[in-house]
Amino acid sequence: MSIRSLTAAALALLVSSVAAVPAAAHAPDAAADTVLAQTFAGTELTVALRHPERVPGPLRVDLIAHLPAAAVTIAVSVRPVTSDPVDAVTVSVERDTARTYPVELTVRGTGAHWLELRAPGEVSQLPFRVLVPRAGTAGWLATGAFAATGLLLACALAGAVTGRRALAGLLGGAGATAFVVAATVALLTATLPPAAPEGAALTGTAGPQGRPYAQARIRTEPATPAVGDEFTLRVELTDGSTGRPVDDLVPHHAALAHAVVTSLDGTAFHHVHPRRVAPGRLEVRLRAARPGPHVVTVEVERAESGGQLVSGRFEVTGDARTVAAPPLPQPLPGVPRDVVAGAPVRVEIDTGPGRIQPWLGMAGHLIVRDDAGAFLGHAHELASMNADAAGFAPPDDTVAAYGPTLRFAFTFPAPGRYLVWLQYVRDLRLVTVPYAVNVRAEPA
Amino acid sequence: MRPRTLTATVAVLVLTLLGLAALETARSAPEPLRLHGIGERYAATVRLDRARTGTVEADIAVERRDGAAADAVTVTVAAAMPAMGHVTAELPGRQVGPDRFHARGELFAMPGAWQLDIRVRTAAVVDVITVDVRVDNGGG
Repeated sequence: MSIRSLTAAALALLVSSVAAVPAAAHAPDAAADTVLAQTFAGTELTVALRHPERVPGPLRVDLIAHLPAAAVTIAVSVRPVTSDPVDAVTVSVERDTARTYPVELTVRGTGAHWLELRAPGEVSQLPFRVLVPRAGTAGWLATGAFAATGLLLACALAGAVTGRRALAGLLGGAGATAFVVAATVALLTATLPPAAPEGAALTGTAGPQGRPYAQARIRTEPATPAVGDEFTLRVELTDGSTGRPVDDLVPHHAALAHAVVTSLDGTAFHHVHPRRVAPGRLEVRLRAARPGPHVVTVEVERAESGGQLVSGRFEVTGDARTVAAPPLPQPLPGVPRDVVAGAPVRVEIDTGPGRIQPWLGMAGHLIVRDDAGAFLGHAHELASMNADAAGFAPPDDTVAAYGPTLRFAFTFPAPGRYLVWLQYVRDLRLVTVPYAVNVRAEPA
Repeated sequence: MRPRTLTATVAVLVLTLLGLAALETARSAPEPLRLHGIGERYAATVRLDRARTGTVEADIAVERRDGAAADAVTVTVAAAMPAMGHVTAELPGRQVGPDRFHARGELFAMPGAWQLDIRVRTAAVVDVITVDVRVDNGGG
């Protein structure tokens, strides 16, 4: 090999090694935001945590207040699960003002954290992890091999220029080998599983069956609330295998827990998002609108598991004649005249003028309960669900991206009368519309 | 190959193998683990002689989060594996100093992600401090 050709080859490989940058192996969830709905101090809040890119670093939190909103001052703090708060700010939410309240906190390290919201008489602990991407072994290997390539080829170049042909050839060969290793590893890195980001949870071994089921004890404080009064609904979750408090809830449809509370006659309806106040304990404050028996259904998801429902009942005392009569539910629009049990039915509802903002990651929610309160179903709007399934990140709660016509598909499981509540958000106001539908049996 | 060269080659191979064996032994040797967590009123620091199945020695130090003098009456430690639904019985902590306790026994039934529940009981309250621990027997 002549000195000229050796120099040219060394230069070409050197340029290639500088130009080729190995793709860092990033876990996909390291940059994902955590978005959680909370029913807090009389307001339906969406708390969006924008994950920091470095630690120590800023943690941006957007509190999106939906209407109706109560005036309240909220202390927002952040702390690692193993220590006291490291930063805190206060936010004043204005009465009946729909807007985003951005705050900035500082996080000092990676791993499991709590974002705590405090208001008079209420506390909420929202779990999240501070994750920082890091390159895996393959990434480090490729980077090291590229660095070695550059160094060896630079030395080979120097050897060739100074006339040490044997040394230049040896170094050039070693550099070429290092380049092949680097390029191969860099190409294969894309096909390897990404390295767990710094701060990731200890991976469990639950397997496909998921974690054990949770059991719930659902109570009110006071035990029998009176109509018109405020009360606390308390859900205590216990692991079905160990008896320990269930404290591993993960975001499920953009909340740690969804509680649907309805009076048995269907005239009172709440879809709320209880606060985590202690290990295994969720609470939400409500006002009893109607007397009589009430049905509670809570949907949660444990880590490494699927969603599950727990339910309970409580009684509200009082005289129905002392409270205003609720509007009667209208027939469910946009469905065939005969809705048959067991067959999927398409529901299409025109919500009127104006675009709709997503709430809980979806354009609309259709909550279905049977007359006896034994069945509760929940369907999501089809267009936003399709976007979610295609991997598109849902737009922020403030973006009017959907509607005005909402489409759902649902299968009523058995004949009978069903109560249906449509929920959507327009101008950051949560709208709930009650419907009813009679479902007949499939002809024999 | 000359005898001297052969001897040198064998010596290098043997030294390399010994080095690799020493590295593997060091990698798989159980190491003490220090864990820290906080509960509602107390903070606890646990030192495990090893995070493995079998008998484990745990040194537990507790302190009040508000800085007041600690008043723990009893301290126990138990382990749970949320992913599998395993839980082990509480090990009582023997007091070995002011707010320092020692427990000995089996905590982990299998390798994996476990949690330790350190239960601090006083005359007035019971506080549970939960910390994560990775149990790894090494090599499997």
